[in-house]
Amino acid sequence: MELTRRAAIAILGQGILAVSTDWGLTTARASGNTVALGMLSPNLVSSIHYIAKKTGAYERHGLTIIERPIPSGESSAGIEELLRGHLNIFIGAGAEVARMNSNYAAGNNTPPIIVIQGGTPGATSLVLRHEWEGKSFDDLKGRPLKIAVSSPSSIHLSLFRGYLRERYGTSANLGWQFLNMEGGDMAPMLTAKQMDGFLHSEPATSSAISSGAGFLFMNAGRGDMGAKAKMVPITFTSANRSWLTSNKDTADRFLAALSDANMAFTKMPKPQMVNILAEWARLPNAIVSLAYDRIDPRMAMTVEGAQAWWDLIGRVIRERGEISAKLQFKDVFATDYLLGDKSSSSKGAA
Amino acid sequence: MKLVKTSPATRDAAPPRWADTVDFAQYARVKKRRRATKGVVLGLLGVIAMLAVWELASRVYDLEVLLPTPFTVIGNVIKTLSLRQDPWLYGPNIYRHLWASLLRTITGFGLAAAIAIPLGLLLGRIAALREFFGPVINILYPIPGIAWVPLAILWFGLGDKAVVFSVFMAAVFPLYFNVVAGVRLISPSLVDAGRCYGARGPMMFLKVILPAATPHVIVGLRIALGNAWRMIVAAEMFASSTGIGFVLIQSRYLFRAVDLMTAMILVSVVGYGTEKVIVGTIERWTIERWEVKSA
Repeated sequence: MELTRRAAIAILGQGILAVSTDWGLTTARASGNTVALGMLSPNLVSSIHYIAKKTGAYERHGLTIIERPIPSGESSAGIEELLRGHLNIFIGAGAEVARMNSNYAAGNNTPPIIVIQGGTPGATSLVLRHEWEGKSFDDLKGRPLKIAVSSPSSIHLSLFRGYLRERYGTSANLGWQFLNMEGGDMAPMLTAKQMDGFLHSEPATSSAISSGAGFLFMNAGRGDMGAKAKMVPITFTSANRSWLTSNKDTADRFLAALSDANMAFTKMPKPQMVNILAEWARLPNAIVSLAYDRIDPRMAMTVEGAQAWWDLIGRVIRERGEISAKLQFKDVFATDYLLGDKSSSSKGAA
Repeated sequence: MKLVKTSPATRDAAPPRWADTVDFAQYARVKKRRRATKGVVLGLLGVIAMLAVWELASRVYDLEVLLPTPFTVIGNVIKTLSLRQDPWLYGPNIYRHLWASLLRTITGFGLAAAIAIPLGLLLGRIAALREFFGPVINILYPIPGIAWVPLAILWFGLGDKAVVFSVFMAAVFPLYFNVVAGVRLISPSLVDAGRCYGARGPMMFLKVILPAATPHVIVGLRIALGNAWRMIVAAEMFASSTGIGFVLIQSRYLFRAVDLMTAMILVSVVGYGTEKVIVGTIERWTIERWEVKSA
C-alpha cells in the first residue's frame, strides 16, 4: 500500500492529537465520580490503593479511578503532576508537599497542594553491612560511612535528620555520606561492599536481611529513632487544592474507600494480604511475608500524627532552609480530612 | 568614508577613472564592520526578545515557581557565585561542585582523546585492522552514553570512577569516527608526495597523516567535549554526591527552579570556556601553525 503525503499528514496529525489530548482528557474526565490518581508504583507504601481496588472499595463508593503510576523515588514528579492539574490525588512521600507549598507561602500566595491523609508510620529502617554489627550508634558517629538514600530529598533521610536533631540538637550528617540510589539497588550494593548501609523502607530492608547483605540497625517502628518518629507518617495522600475545593464530595468518598481498605487490611488473613501486596509491589511473596510486620499501608493519619510530622520533619527541613519560615502547618495539612481531635492541630510553625 | 583620492600627483592629470577613485580595501573594511555590527545588534535583539518573552511568560502565567524571571535567575547566579546564597542546600560551595565536574570531564575526555586519536589514525590507515575492530566499535557506538551509567556504577561503585567512565564512553566514539574519516579522506597524492620526500612509517604519520587529518580531529574533539559535558551532568545525577549534575537533580527535588536554571547557566559557561581553552588551544597549535585549510 502506498503511503500518500496526505495520508501521512493525517496519521501524524491524529497521533499528535491523541498524545496531546491524553492528559487533558484524563483531567477533564476526572470530575464527579472520577479521580485521576497518581501513586508511587511499584511500591509497598502505596499498596492501600491496590487493596481498595482489589476489595472493590472504589466501586462501593461510586468512584472510577484513573491510575497514573509514578516511578518509586520520584515523589516530586507526582507533586508536579498535582500542581499541573494532571492528577487530582497523589499517594507518595510527604516532604515534597511542604517543599512545593513553601515556594508559594514564601510569596504570600495560597499553596496549591494539600495533604488529606497519611500513613505507613515507622517504615523507615537503617540497614547496615554486617561489618558494623555490634557497634553502637555513637561508635558509628564520625566514621565516613556511605549510606544510600532514594533521593536527596528522601523522607527517610529527613526523618533520620529529625531523629539526629532530637538526639544531638543538630541535623548535621555525622560525617556520613548520603548517596542517591534506587531502592532496588540498595541491597546488591551492600553485598558488593560499595555502600555501608541504606536508609529506606520496605522491601529493600527485608531484601537485604533475607539475602544476608545486611542487618537491621535501626527501625523507626521499633522506636529506635525516638518515640515521635514511631508515629510520623511517611506516606501522604495529597490533593490539588483547587480540585479539592470543587470536588469535596468526591474526595470524601475517596477517603471513605481508603478507610474501607484500611479495614480490609486489618481483617484479612496474612497470607491473603501478602498475595495482594506482593502483586502490587511486584515482589516475591517470601519477601513481603518477611517484611509484613514492618508494613502498615493504612491511611489513617490523625491530627496528632500530622503534628508529629510537622514537629520532627517539618522542623528539620525548615532549619535546613528547604522550606520557608512562612510555611504554616495549615498550609500543608487539611485537618478537616484527618482523624482525631482537630482542635489540637498546630496553628503555626513548630 | 573618504572615497576620492586627492593626492597632488593626480591633481593636474586627466580626470581619474571611477575605479581609481574608490578605495576598495577601505570599502571592504567598512562593509565588514557594518556587517559585524549588524550581526551583534541582531543577536542582541534576539537575546532581548527571548528574555522579554521569558519575563512575560513568567509573570503573565504566574509561573515564578516553575519558570523564574530572567532577573531572578541572573540575581541568583550572582548570589551563587559570590557565595551569598542563603540557604545553600547543596553541600560544598558551587566552585567545588564546578571543579569536581570539570576534573571528571577533563579526565574522561582526556582518556577518550588518548585512545580515540591514535586508534583512529591507525585504523584509518590500515584497512585490515579497521575491518577487524569495525564490528565491535559499530555495535558499541549506538549505545547512548547514559545507558553506561548503571553498568559503570556496578563496576566502579558510586563516585568519580563511574562518572569518568561514562564520560569516556560518551566522548570516545565521535572522536574516533572523526579521526578515521579525516585519515581516510586524505588525498593519495598528498601521501605520495610525502613518500617522494622520503617520509615513511612514524614520520609519515607525524608529518603527513596527522596534519592532514587535523581539521577532522578538531571537529571530533569539539563534538567529544560537548558530549562529555552533556554526559557529566547526567552521570552525576545518578552516581555522585558532588558536581553540577548533583546540584541540578537536588534543586529539582527541592522544587527550586531558580537554582536549577543557575546550575544550567553555569555548566553552559564552563562548558563553553573549556571548549575555547582546550579545543581552541589545540586548534592554534595545529591547524593555524601547520596552515592546514581543509582535510
